[in-house]
Amino acid sequence: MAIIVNLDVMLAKRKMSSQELSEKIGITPANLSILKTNKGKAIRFSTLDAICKELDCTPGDILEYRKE
Amino acid sequence: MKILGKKSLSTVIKIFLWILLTICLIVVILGGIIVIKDFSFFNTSNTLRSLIILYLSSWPAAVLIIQFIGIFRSLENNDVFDKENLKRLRISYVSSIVMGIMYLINSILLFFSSEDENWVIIYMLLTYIITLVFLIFGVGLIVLSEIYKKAIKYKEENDLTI
Repeated sequence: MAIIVNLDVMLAKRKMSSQELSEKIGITPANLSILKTNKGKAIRFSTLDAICKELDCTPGDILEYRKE
Repeated sequence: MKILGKKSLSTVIKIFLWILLTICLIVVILGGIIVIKDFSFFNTSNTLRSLIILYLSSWPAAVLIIQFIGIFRSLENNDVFDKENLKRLRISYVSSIVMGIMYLINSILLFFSSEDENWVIIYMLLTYIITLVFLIFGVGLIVLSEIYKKAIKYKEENDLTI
């Protein structure tokens, strides 16, 4: 897919673990792993909102468009 | 009337499917023995040919029933939208169409048969009806499997929406 999820980059910048983020935003580590590994098909606004709130960033910091 | 759960038809359906499978397997085993051992019993070529086709059609019928048992089992386990079930539906429509084609061949051969007895005409008409039933059923299963394919795609998309 042309949309890349840079969640791992943001997590590294904020020095936060996936486990910690998943607990804070209330999704399972398995689902967060799907997002991180770009296996997800879609992301809910509510999830995006929670991630942005916890990582103090914008959706553009997490999602990136790369031409295939 | 409930199909699944307590006080439902599920037990009746399961027993019915297993009885059908048992009958099919008996035909598969005994039919073969009868056709091979006692050729002379069937005095006309029509009877023999029809019996061979009937016997051969019991194979895809058994396959079809096994697939239905599998589909019903997955329905009971709440695991319906599975790729395995799509495969089962595909095998089912192939089996159904194969059976339809077998009966079609039989009815075509009966049409060109030299015998002019009343039973041949009645049997030929019956074979045409059975042919149509299986072919329509097979086409119906093709449509159903395509709907199923889309349903699995939507389910996967939903599962991967975080």
